[in-house]
Amino acid sequence: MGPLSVGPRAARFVARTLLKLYPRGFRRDVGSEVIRDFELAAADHLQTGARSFLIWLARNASSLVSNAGPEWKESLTSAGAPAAGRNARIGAMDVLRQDLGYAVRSLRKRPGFTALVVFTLGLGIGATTAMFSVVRGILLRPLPYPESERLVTVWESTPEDVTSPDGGLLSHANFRDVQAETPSIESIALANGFGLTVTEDGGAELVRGARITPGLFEVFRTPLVKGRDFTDLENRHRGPAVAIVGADYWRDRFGPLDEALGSSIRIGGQAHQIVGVAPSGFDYPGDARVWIPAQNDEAGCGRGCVNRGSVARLAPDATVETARAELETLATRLEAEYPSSNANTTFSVASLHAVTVGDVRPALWLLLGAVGMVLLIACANVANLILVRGRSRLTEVAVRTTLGAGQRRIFKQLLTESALIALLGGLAGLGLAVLAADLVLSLAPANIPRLDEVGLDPTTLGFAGLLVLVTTLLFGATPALLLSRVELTQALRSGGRGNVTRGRSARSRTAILTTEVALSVLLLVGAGLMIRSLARTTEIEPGFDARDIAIFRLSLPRTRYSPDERVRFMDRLSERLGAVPGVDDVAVMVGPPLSSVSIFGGFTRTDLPAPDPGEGPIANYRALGPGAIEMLAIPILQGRAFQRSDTYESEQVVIITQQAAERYFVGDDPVGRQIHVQVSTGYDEAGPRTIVGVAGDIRGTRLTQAPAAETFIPYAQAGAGFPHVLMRGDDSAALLEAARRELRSLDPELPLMRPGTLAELVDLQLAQPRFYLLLLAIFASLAVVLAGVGMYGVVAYAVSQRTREIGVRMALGARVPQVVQLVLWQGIRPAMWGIGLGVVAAFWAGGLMRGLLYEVAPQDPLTLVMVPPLLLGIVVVACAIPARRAARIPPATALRNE
Amino acid sequence: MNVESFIPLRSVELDILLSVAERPRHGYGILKDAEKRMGRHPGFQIPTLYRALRRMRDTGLVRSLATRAGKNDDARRQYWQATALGMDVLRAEIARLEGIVAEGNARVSRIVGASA
Repeated sequence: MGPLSVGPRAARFVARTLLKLYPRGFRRDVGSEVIRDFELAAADHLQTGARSFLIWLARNASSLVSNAGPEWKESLTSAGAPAAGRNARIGAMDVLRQDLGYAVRSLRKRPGFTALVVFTLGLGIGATTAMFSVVRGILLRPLPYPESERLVTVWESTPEDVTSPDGGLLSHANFRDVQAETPSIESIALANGFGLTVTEDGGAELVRGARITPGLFEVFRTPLVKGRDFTDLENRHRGPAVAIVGADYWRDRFGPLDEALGSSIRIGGQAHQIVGVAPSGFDYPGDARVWIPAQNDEAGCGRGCVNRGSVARLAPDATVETARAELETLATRLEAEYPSSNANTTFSVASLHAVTVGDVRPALWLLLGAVGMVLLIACANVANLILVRGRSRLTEVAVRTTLGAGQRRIFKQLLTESALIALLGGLAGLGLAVLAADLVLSLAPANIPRLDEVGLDPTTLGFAGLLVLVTTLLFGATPALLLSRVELTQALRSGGRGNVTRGRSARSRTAILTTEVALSVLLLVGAGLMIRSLARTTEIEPGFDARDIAIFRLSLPRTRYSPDERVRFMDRLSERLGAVPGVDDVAVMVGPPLSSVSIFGGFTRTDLPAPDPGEGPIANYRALGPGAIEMLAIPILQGRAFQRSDTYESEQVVIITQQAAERYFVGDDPVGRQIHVQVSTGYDEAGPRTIVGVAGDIRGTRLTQAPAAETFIPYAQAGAGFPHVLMRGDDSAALLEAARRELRSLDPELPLMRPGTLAELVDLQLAQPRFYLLLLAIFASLAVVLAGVGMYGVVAYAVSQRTREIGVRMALGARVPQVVQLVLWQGIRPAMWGIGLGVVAAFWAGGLMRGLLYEVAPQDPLTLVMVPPLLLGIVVVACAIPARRAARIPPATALRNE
Repeated sequence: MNVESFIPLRSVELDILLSVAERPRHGYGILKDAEKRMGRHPGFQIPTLYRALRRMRDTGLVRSLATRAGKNDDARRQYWQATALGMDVLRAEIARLEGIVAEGNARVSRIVGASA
């Protein structure tokens, strides 16, 4: 959501909230007018930028507040209100006004204190609101489609992980059965995102597109703005070349929407007639701009060809559970009917939202919890500051009590002051939240879903308002309660410096300090665990050398390149790239490591009886051209690497990795044996292959996943899949630029896809943990700083209160170290308790982090041992300053003070 | 009501009368009109504007119209219009300002003349 729609809503929220300060007559008369004008003006000011808008909002908000008092005064003095009611209202309103005015004066009197408190609260509220806006945008807000809670996705899985919410793929044939035989599913369609090459006037452009089955738009309840959906006829294999385009895409690239229908665009070198236009903003799946029919080849890619993503709409009275039950029945039937493809296969179903959000969910909740702790610490600090300051106000409270103010009245007055502080803190926090949310978004890696939907909206603002309320109670109630129960004679007698509230108030202060330290320990342990985990992740040996390798991908259209021609084209391209200055080496590979183009497959040994369907060895499938193994520095442990002599005509060969050898050739020497390799895309290979070598393991799918079994096939003998070109050289950018040139001269209709470096792919794997660590580290530092400041404030205050006692002690012969120790102990004792509690809590709560950690136990002893001394050190520094001051007190001065 | 008792007008009141004397306007329309007239922000905010409007309605300088059937206007808005009294007060205020301007011009030209 953009700021243009948030702004007016924020303005309306502010106006509506602050209007509550006004008499009912005013609100009834012009309340809606004021709100309307706020919206209009907000929209106007946003045109000139966020800064102008914020300034405007601040001015008008304060104008609303400052006009409220005079308006009340006028409404009460003007004639017309019924006398009795008016008097009653004067009583209640006068009290509030008095309290407010009093609070304003008392805060103004201490600008330093007020600024510190408002800043502390603003920090807590701002950080929490920012984090909440991220959590809301990603996790809480429904997907942007009508009745999106009924959208689900269905995929094939094994019975063991039927409930894992990862999402997955479906074969076209099984999709048809799901469509026909699941009453809980109202409609279902397939959609696979991929890069389309659109050519126009000699230039080729890569556009995000999707292959879909008819009905996708119906599933999303998103009617086309022009034209129609694909027909079943168009979706048949070798059906007509037709396309649906996005309205925005058409307008950007080609012109007026009216001209779209009936025109054609060239996709993959072939003219596609446009039959429909999708509304602007609709881009499922993943930023799609152009949609073409799936046109599945049922003969070539049958039931075992599990390569389609699905999206479905549940029937109105259905749930994920009823759908799951029906799908299980269906899966059992299909398993019996098609054992070769559907053995050990069932269907999973989960809400599209859950699958989209995926594995960032626990991390985001954890971060929200962490930032909540920062807010708690901020509240604790403010409560302490108020308590400390409250001591010096004892006399004032006592005088007011003497003059007839009841406990309730004083409690209310103190709470009003806290509420005003919280409100100011909330406003500061909102400003901070806007900045912080921007910061979080700019730091977040691109592979976190739905980031574009994060923004400040009324719910987030409401959340901030709630925080203000909660913090008022948290930091305001305790001090107000303690101070309003002052024993007045004692307070008056001691002139504000006495021990009236000493027991209770000192105990609360200590308890608050203990809590702060405990929370800091939790956050530090969290950040520490993330650091350890990230360190472990960066130490991972991926099994290949990613240095200095530039990489890009090609899509050779089947219509123009037969399998033979592909191999020849790649040879020619490699040759030309090899001649480019700066290129040390060129190799071709299908499914390079960490490229998210892994092909899952398997194999069977020809020397063993055929296993039951679905029970054979599982191994990833990669095709490598000559030199690829050497370029990636994958060691050959046994046998040989691929050679130029491994061609289409020569003996069919395969290299397996160590994992495959150890797992599926126990006690046997794999080299020389023959296997049938299966590729999950359904194209079972014709003949068996001879294993010519065993290669070292690689982490090909995920850096943090243990190496899987892999089969490597010579590219010349595979010819399927998206070929990637790997180039070794110092200057990746220059290499890619040269590749773009060479490619254009060979075939101007082929775009260079996903250019980058292999090192970047490795790095992307670390982006999410690094991001979480960064946020946790920021929160932990905030916590430690706040706790340190709080500690300093309390100890310094205690010293100032005990000046006389210290003087007496020194006069009676106490030495400096003893005094210092006395003071230090004031902070260290609660800190020790806090550290103890924090460590216990961290030990207990560590399990929450398990999903985020790699090879580090949530109860990692090293982290738990490192944190306490660190925190204790900070506490000692915070207490040392007042301790030094105490030690320098000349006894005479201290005594004279009295 | 005595016209003189309203003189001098507060600046927000003068701005309002100038805007609603021409034609009925809603609150934000008044603000925008004042801004256009002065070429800068008029210096009062929306809440101040509405308090002044209500006060001026109570004293009879403006009246509020629940709806207005203008073509480009937002029909659901509350529109404000100057009353006959409001027009009289506006005239009186402008006359007062003219007096100040005339007096000021005379003085300034005297000073300029003396120093030339």
